[in-house]
Amino acid sequence: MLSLLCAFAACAPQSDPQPPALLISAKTIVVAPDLVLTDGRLLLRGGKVAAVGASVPQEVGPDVHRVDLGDATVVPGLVVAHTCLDAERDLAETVTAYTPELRAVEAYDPYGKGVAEMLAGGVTAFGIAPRSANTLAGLAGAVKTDPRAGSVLRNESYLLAAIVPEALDQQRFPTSRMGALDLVRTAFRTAAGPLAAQTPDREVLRDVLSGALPFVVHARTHDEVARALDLADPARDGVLAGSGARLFLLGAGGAHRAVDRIAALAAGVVIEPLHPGLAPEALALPAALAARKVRLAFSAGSPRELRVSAALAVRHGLPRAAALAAMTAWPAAMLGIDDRCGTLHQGKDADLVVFDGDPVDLGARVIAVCLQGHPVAGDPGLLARD
Amino acid sequence: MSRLPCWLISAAAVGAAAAPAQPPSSPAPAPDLVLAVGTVHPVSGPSFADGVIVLGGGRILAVGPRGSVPLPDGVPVVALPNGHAYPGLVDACTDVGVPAGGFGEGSAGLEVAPGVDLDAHSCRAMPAGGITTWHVLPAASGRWRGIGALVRAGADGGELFGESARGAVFLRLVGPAGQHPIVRQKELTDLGRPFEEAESYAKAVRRHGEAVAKYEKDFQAWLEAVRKGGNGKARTGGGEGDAAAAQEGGQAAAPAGPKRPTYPKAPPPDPAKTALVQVASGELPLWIEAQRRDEIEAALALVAERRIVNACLVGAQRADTVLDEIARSGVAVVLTPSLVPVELDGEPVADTLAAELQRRGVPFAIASGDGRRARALPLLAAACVAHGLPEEAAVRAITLTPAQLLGIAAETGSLEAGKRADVVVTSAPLLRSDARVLRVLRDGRTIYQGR
Amino acid sequence: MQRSLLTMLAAAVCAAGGIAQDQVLVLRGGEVRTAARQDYPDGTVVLHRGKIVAVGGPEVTFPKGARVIDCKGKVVTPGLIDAGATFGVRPNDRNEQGDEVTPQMSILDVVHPDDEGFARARESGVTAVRLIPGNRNVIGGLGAVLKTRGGTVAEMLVSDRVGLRVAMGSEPSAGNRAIRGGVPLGLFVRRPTTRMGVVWEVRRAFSAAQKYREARTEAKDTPPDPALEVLVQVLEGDLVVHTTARAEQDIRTALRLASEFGYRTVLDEATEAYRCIDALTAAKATCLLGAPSAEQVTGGGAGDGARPRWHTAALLAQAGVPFAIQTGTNLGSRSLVHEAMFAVRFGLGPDTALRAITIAPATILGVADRLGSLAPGKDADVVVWSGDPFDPTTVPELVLVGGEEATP
Repeated sequence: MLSLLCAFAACAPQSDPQPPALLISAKTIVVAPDLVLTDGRLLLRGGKVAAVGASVPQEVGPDVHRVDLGDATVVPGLVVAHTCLDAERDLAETVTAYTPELRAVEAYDPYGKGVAEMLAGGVTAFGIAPRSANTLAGLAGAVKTDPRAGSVLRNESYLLAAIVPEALDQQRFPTSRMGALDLVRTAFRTAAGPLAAQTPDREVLRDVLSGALPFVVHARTHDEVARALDLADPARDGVLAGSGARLFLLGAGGAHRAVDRIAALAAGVVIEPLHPGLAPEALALPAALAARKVRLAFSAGSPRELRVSAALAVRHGLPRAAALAAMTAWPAAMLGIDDRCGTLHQGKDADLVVFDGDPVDLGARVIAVCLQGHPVAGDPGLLARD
Repeated sequence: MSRLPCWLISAAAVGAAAAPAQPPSSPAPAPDLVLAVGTVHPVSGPSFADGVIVLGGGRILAVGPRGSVPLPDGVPVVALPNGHAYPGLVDACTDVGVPAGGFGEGSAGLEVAPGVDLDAHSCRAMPAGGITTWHVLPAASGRWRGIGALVRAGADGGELFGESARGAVFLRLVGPAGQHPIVRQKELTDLGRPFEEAESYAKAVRRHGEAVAKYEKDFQAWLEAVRKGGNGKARTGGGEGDAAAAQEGGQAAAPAGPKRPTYPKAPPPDPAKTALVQVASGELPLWIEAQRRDEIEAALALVAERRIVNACLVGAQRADTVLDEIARSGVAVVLTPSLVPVELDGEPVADTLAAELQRRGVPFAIASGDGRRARALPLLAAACVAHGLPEEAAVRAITLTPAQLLGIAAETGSLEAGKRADVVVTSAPLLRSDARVLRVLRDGRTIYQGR
Repeated sequence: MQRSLLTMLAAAVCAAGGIAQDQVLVLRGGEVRTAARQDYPDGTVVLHRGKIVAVGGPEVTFPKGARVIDCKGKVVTPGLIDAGATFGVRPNDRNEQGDEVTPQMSILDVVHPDDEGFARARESGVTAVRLIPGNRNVIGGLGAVLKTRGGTVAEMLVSDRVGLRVAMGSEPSAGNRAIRGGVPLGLFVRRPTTRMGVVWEVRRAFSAAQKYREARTEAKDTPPDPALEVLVQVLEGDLVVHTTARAEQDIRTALRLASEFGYRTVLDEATEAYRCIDALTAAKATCLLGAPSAEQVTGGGAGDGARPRWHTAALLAQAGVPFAIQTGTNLGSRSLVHEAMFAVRFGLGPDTALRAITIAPATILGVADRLGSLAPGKDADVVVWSGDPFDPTTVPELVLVGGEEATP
């Protein structure tokens, strides 16, 4: 029986087309940031969430396996909005600074280092992004943490631009932030102009201007953030002002003086990994942003970085619900995969993680991870046939 | 598992020695403050709800559930109905208070307490993290670094713990990164030599002590002899009179009796050797910084060879390779876990060290190692819980166990009657991410109040 | 001694919780040098809501409840304006070296408000500065005037697009190497490598701008080129060129280029202006004289071969050439007031010297409607000195920027 379970857990679920139907009951089920069930029930069927909470029928049929998780906490699969994993060279195109059409998913190795670690830590989907080695670095895509082909959810989730010092190169244009900002402005002006040629890079920029594609700007210090916000500020003749473009900031560690402006001009902020050595203002920034109703997500190279960032942000004032939302629903919305991931509403993919406590506490451990109905990590016996 | 390590016995003895001299029959101090807290976690016993802590004269007078502890009249009560009271945290090893250039050249006898920068910003920030006592690492050069300093948190800066504020003697065995194991092996030999030299120094000091005692006796005898026999000249003249008299009149003038004894020459004072003598006798703890397997093994060999009773490993990142030997040796361990993944010689450091040590009954403390991480000490403990450490053991590792390892367990480390009134009250259980520090008391005085 | 007076004065000002924006502030009893028509030996300056309301003698009235600061024995001047500030921008950000001709770059994109240079400038009485791209590009980009007090660029900005930086001499070609073997390897294997190349780049850029202007008037669907747009503004007289020129030949070249294309230019640094006063007067040129105290040119401009003289400022004043004094790009140049002090020592009249660091740079930079002198309606940028500003023992005791106390 045990060997069967292990074999079940190890074999690729694609060869087992139908994942088991499960009825899960647990002390705490977080369906969405605003919907937490106590002693709730969750019905999974065919790799999707079939019913949740009160809408789970009393009688579910003999093919459904009942799993009682006791005191555990069930949350939607964690989503990381921005990561480069460990891909050093393949995600950094530095010959020229203007590469908005390059797609990071094309350098994504599903069997690469770090992907299995992500899955074991409870991250079921993430945005794989180009490295910030370029001014207009390219398109991030959304993938499921799944070593099989077909795990790419979206080829184009957002356009990443970077005005941080690591995106400047003294051997090619731009060598200074003046040049970087000029490049961004010129690119958008040219793309918006009536005579713009129909090339892939201009297509991407037009998608940004129409609002179809989010625009994420990597800016860290106070002046970098201010210049990034200027791009969307009508009072500063920003190229994005007046269009439907959605501006997000990545990093923003030094932006504690600009919180009001961020709330007014940006659609959300992706927080770079937090660690105890940062200044207290940087650690308290997520709390300040959440107080102004700014949506947050995290960037992390590993699930440990994600959990430590969340724990430090909560320690410095971020409400628990906002921290959990920043690890599930909000990054899924930003990546454009919220039709399938981020919450456990009916019809979404059955991606969930079982913790033995609140995932925001560092003491909580991952007990099991379920991806599209299949148990893929943690204790294989827990969610399998009982 | 139930074997009582010898270091604990001697540590308790040291703790008693470090306590301020209180006459055993002094009357109990009057209560001056009562804390009524939602949950009390004494660490020395099980936690209980709706607890009361009575403080007086800087000490804890009584701790218990509300019904069981009589509330004294006329004493102000601070009510924190949703708070969780813990003992003030003890950071076993950190660099908070180390001045900019370090402490210079190290030696086994270098006491760094006078050099600690008590007004540093990092010292002022310690109460906000719930820490009331910490052990300053003697950041000096050389293998034998020095004697760490025990510092108490204050409302504006730190204070030395007691008169001597002596922590442990630090011996650093950690080699630089990239060093070839063979080179390191050569450097790890002959660690016991300073102890041998210290032993001969101790013998020389003892001999000197005996010689002084003999001198006292001889001098008294000579004085007697001079008083009894001989004329007034001999009485006052002493040695010179003797010689003069001898020259004058030959044998008849010289008084029969012993020569004036000379005071024996003392061996030159050597604080390093004195410190090592105290380590050998168990008076001072020896903390050995060792990370790699061969460093740890060399440390354990030294402890066994010199029969050091009060020894501790600091760091021990590769302890997972020598767990049984550590358990057998009876040494304790101070871990400095990290929130970000750490690598040693290109290999990741195991996260399960704390859980493994706990399973084998090895006493261990969790310390920050670093002033910036000190602010997040409870988070470091929480990270160990995620890898198998029980929660109560994690809280103990940042309160009572470091106090025991530093020999101050009689004074602080748990909420027990008789100990100093070091209390931290948080808004949620200590290891939770959103636990805010509400109030910190040290010696019964509030040194920090959170928003 | 002066330090404690400064703290006392600051304490007196701060005692009521700082200068409230609504409260009227009066500086009374000091020697007021307005850098305008008239000075007042026993003057009164009235400030309200960040502006100067009244300037005059002891008869000037002010409302009850005003905060009065006694300046007896002290000298009150307008806040100093340093046209040659080299702080406020990180070193790599000062020049966009991807290309030699980058007229559309704006220094405002890289201003670092937390730079401690701003605090040091306030300490020495400087209340406004011009920041402009550096001299490593032939055409570097657009400069701006900012106050030295404020946490964000928006708070500090007085005027943007104050001038276009063009550099003459050997600095723009420094670091470039000639193409050898036909294959360029690396960003800096490019033109220009000589002074000829530098001037040629300027000519090429402005010629292209002229063609672009014609093409745009003829055909409305010419694709817009932001770089050439800036140069067209220069050609049409809407934007002034700030040309860095140190050696005599560079000064003459700069004036020649300006007359060739018909644009207005101001000469930055103008170290060897004393050798070509005739050309300056003939062209009716204006100079931003750099570091009069320098014994030799150091820093990036050292390769130009220019030799400074201490009496240059006096000569310019004598010849009637309009000029201002700036600290400039020399390493180790002193604070602005000390540079002016040197000029006074070597022949410049003290009144002219004060004007050269207040109203003259304000006029040249086009911000004289707001800054540069103590006149009603201008910004409340005032400095109270412990004595004559050009006395080496004098220190600024109170620096007000926009009516707010600006102790660093």
